[in-house]
Amino acid sequence: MKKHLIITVWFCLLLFPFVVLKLPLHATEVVTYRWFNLPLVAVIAFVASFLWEILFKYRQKAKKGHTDFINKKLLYLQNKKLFPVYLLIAIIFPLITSDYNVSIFTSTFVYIVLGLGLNIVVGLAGLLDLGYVAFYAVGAYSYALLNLYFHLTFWQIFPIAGLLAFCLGVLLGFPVLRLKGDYLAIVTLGFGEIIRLILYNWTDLTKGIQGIGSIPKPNLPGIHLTEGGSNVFLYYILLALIIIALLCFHRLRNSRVGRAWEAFREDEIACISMGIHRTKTKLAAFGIGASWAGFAGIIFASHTGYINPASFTFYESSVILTIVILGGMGSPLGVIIASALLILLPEYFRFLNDYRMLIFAMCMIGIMLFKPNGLLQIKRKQFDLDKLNNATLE
Amino acid sequence: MNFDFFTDLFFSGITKGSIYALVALGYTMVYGIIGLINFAHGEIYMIGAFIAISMCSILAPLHISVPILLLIAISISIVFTACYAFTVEKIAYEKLRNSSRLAPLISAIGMSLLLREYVLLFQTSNFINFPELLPEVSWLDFMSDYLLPSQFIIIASAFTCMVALILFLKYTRSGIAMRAIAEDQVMTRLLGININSTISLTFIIGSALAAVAAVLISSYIGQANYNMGFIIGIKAFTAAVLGGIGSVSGAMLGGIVLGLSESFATGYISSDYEDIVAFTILILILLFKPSGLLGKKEIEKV
Amino acid sequence: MKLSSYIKFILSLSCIFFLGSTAFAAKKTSPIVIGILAPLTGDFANYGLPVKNSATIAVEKINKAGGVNGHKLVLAAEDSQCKPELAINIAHKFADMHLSIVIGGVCSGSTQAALPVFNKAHIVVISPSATATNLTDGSNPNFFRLIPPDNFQGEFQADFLINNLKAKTIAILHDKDAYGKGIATILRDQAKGKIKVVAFEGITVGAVDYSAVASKLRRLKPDAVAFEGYMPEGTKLLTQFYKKRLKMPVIVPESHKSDVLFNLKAKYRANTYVSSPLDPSSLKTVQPISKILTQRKQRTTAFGIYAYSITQIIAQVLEQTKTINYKNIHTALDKGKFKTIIGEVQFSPKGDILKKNYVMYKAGGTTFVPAK
Repeated sequence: MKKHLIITVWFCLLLFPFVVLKLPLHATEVVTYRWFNLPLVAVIAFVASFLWEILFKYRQKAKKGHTDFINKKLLYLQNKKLFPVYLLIAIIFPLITSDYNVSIFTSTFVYIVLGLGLNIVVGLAGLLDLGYVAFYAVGAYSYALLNLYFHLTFWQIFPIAGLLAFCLGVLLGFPVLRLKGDYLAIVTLGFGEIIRLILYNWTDLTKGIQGIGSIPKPNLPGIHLTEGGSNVFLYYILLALIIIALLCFHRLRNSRVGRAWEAFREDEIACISMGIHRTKTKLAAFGIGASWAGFAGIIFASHTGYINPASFTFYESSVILTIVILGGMGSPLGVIIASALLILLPEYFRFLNDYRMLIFAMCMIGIMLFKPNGLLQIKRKQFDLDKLNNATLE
Repeated sequence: MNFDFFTDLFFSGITKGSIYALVALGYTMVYGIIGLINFAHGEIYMIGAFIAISMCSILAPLHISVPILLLIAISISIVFTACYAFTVEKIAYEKLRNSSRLAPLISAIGMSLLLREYVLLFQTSNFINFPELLPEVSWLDFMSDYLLPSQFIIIASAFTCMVALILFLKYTRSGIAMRAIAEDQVMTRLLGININSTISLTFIIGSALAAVAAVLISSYIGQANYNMGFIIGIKAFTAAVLGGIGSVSGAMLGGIVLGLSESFATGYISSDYEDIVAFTILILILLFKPSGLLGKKEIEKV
Repeated sequence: MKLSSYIKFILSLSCIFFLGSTAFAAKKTSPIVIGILAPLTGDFANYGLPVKNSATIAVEKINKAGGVNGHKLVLAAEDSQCKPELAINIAHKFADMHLSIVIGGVCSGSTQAALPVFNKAHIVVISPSATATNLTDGSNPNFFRLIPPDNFQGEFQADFLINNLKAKTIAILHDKDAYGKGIATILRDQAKGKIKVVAFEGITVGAVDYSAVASKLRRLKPDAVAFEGYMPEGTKLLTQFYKKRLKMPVIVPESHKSDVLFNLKAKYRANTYVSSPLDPSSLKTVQPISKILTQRKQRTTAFGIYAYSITQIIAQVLEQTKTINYKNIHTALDKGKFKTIIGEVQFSPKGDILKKNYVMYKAGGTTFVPAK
């Protein structure tokens, strides 16, 4: 009890200069005091300190092996039998809701594709890439620029965007082969920033901050689409892309390359001593991961119809990284759930107005504290010895 | 004529660099001790500036003279900023020390966003005028073509802090404990050193330096804004890596190098490429010396 | 499925139908909704909030006087934070809500991004502050604005430099943003042949200090400096210039035309000129509105007054048109002469305001004073 009181007083004092005191905005004004905020802070701090204790006790129990409520629910969601239901809902969705909802879900899907791509680099191969947004930008700008200067269509540029992003990923991979852990993170961050700065400053080519507008949406050959129709079409393209990404991910994981990646994540030196080719493996991770970002980029460009370098900052990279880690390293369904939490919910919670981003940040920290390994754990293919024995006996 | 310009840019660069160095020290110390890139450090810097403004606004009717006001502002700012850093560590990082490397990273990013939104929400998105706290040193006027008195004060204060830090780390018990934890945490624990309080102390010292930097530079440019932590965060972090993250002298050197290269790039080429030069230098150094300028090569145990 | 699940399913379906039907039922005495696309939070909130606040006062007055043809006006303000992606989402939302007119956007970049969506949805957009030149180049027939475009500001500044300041050399700085670089480029083009441009550079927004730029200018010694960008950077530069003893006049664009500029110490802005459309805040007709805003602890800004005028124009347009549809509104705007608190407003075929008043103000004292 005493501890909780101390915490309450601490927060009251700590938060005082911002919550109570209001700085004058004009030379003519003076400092104002919003004392009514103080009891609010006290109450919230008091309650929060109790909650903190309770939730950590809960986490201790969960660690000891008791599957708790949340885990059970999440495991249920992963049940393979539910997948056709999800697919059905996703297919029907755009036909029954408004354009606004389709637009929001399209944005979310773009992030899912980005998350799945980064999942390959960070989740499977364990390469901390903080500049992932560079490949995203390449995809988007390749569509915008090739369309602007050479008048190529969406379908023609689609594979080019992926290929360009792939090449850029391999290009990034070469110099960082020897770097480990945090140095890798920093160099990739620098790389991401350099790409953004090039886009920003090379205005002759990329039109700098003004951006490129009037980017057309993909067309269905032969059929004329309305504005709403092409939005829905884009949604379906994205849905197909996600399904392909999930399938690819599944196949890659169980392939030689995928297993090499996961081995690299666990212990690099052991891998090298076992003869796994470090360069090829790492470059493959960077390249394939990057190409998904390229595809996401071209769809983003056609969705918003206007791109400029401000959409490709480090903040975006950190959002994508958060999606991957929050969802659980390497878990594709986790990526989907995390995207829904991080992108979809803030849109629907707009009514929270000013407090929206604050609550968003608090949720981010909260989830990491209580589920540090992410929401869903990836399930390794395991051989059940008993089943195997029983099978051979029969 | 050319020499004048060079000296001008040189001192600008050292000024900028000292600020980068002070903030970079926070990054490097935290990384050295718990292996975390503290993304929220830039926001701590920003909070330091805001606390100083609040303090000056409260004391404004008393008309205290400038040098004393500066000392009061810095002291109170250090105290509050240290408390904020301490709280941030306890909330966002302490419980995650035994998890994977990435969990505290996300927590740090979340904390950075939280602090930024917190200040935005309860204060304003406008820039706020920062009072002139740097006293006019008249005996330096002869140099004022190259080195402004305020620049001199910034450089002198920064260097004093850095020297104090080096002495602290070398000769005091807590300082040695910090270095010990950075080298081998388990062994230090076995020797009976309180890990939690030493780690908290690291955060506190890092934030104190950031607060000093914030007050100095905000007086110099005359304003503070809720977003100022973001840019300084990336730059100071780059400086820390440049010098070798985990190395205190590296952070100082990295900050100065970054400041100088930005200054010369602006002066001789163009302001357009200021940022690109900074990042390119970083990548080049990391390619040829992966552990940074003064960093130690990490020996990997198998 | 279990019985309870069936019941839950049926209950939720009926809830949806019920809510949907109430939405339809409300149409008979429905108010007319006008959208506002503006930054209400974030870095540019101090440009966007006055727009919303002033428009709110206008709507209150109109509703008090009986509304428009018996219908009350209602504002639906959405926060764009001056981010193009958000603006596009909001445009879709407004299209969903079947709005006919939107006040906004405030920033050129997000206006540019959202206009195609508004265009396709046949929504008329009237902006109080988006100044990018290409918005009225003919590709956006549904767009109108009350503020003169940037190209005119660049021309005006060049004119002032040549004729009033008699500068022979100039350094042009910008913030690499659409607004700043746009004006800077036009200024540079206008200056060609008449003034020598010794530097044309983009500074980094949010940098720790700008003393290197100031040193560079000290070496180049131009007769005048122009900075095109927003106020935070502008004030930082002015501070830095003063400290480095740069005494030449500095011209800044109308983004600096705000009383916040006077928070800066007088000595820093002693030689600063602000180019801006004629300030409506000084007009007598604006005083009563200004009073109400001050009572509500809100600020009076030029953009806010433009937003007020736009609301007045919208009310007059809606009164004229028999049925509220795109074509009628567009025709009414094209042809009409509207009475507003800033005077009579008429639009050109491309959507710009016909009367373009620009004034150069000196910012050295406690208020803006027109320069000679």
